[in-house]
Amino acid sequence: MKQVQHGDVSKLGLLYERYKGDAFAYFYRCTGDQGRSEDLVQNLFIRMLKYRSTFGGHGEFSYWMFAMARNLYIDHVRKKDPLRKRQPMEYVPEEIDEDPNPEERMERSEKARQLHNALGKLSEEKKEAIVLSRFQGLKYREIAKMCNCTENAIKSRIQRGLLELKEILENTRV
Amino acid sequence: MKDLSVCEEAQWELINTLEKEDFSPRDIDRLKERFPDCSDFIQEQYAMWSSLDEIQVPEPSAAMDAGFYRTLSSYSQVNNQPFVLTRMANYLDRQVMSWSSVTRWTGVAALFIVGLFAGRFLLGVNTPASIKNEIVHHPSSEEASTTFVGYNAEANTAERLKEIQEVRNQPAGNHKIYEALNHALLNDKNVNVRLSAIESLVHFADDPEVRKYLIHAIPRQRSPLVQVALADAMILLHEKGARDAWEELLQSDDVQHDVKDYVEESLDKLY
Repeated sequence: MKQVQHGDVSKLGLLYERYKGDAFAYFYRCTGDQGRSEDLVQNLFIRMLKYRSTFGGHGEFSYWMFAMARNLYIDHVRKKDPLRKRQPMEYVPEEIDEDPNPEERMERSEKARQLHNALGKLSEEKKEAIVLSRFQGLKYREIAKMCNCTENAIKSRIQRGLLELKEILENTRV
Repeated sequence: MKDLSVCEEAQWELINTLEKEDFSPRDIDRLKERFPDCSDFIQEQYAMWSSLDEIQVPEPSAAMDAGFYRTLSSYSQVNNQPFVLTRMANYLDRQVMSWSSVTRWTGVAALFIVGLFAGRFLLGVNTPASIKNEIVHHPSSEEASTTFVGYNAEANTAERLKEIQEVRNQPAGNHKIYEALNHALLNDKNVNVRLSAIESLVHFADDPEVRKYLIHAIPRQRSPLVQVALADAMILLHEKGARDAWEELLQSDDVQHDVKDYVEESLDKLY
C-alpha cells in the first residue's frame, strides 16, 4: 500500500489479488447478489486508489479496507438505485462432489439457503456486526470504531442478531 | 429457551468468549458449567454462530478481474498523461522564457510549423477519406461486421463481451456497428459489457457520431464504474462538448460522492 501511496498505482493489482476474495465475500454476505458484489469490489478498489492518502501506514490494511467497504456498502444501500428493488439472486449452494449421500447433501444445501436468506432479513446494523466479526475476523472494538458506536453496542447487535436468526429460521421451518 | 434477562450475563460472556483468538469449543463447555441454568441457551446461541459457516460464498467471476484491471489501466493512463504533459509543458515554458525575444518568437514559430506538420501527419491517418479507402479496400469488412450488428442481448455475458471487443478489429465508418455499440452501452445489463462498449466507442471516436453517443450516455448511466469510465473517455478524447451532460448527471441522485468528486476533478482538467 505504501508503494501505491507513493504513486506506483500498478501495485494496487497485488493488493487486489490478495484481498479481492475477502472483499467479495463481505459484499456477497451483505447483498446476497453476486453481480452487485462484483461491482462493489471493483468500486472499492477505485475508492482505495482515490483515497490512498488516508491509509495511515500503521495498523492493519484489512481494517482500513473493511472500513472503506462498509462505507461503500452503506452508500449503496442508501442510494436510490432502482435496480435494488429487484430481488437478489436466489442462493445456490456449491455442489460438494465428494459427498456420497445425496439426501444429506440436499438437506445441507437447504439449510445453507435458509441461513443465507435469514441473514438477509436482519437489519443492516445487526448483519454488518455479525458479518464483520464472524466472517471477516474483526474485533468488536474495531467494528465499534468503524460504526462510531460503543463496543457494547456491537456485542448487543450480535446477540440480538443471533436470536433473530434463530427466530426467522424457526418461522421458516414451521 | 431461557428468558433473556435471566441469561444476560451468560450471553455477555458467550459473546466475549467467541471473540477470543484462542477460542475452542471447550470454552463453551466451561461457560455452560459456569451458568448451568442457561446451558441450553448458550448451546443454542453457539450452534447458531457455528452454523453460519454453512453459508457458502461463490467464486467471483473472471469479469470482475477484467473490469478491475481495465479500470486500473484507464486510471493510470488518465492520471499519468497530464503529469507527463505538464512536465513537458513546464520544461518548454522554462526554455522558451529563457530565450531572447527574437529567438523566442522564432522558436515559437518553428514549434508551430513542426506542430502543423505533425498534426497533419497524425490526423491524416484517420481522416474520413482514408477510412473510406480502408472500407473500399476491405470488401469483406461489412460482411464481417454484420455478425456484430446482430448483437444479441440474450447471449451470455462472455459472448457479448467477445463480440464487443472483436469489433475493434473492424475498420471505422460502419454506422451499424456504432449503433450496436450505443445500444449495448445504454441497455446491456452487465456493467463489464457496458465498459467494453465504451472502450470500443473510444476506438472509433474520430467519428462525431460516436462522440455524440458517448456524451448521450453520460446522464443515463447509474453504475459508478461506467460513470468513471465515461469521465476517463472524455478526458482521453479531450471532448469538451459534454458539459451539459455532466451537469445533468451531477445534479441527479444517481452519483456517489466519490464518483462526483472524480468527475468534478476530471471536468476541471478538461475546461
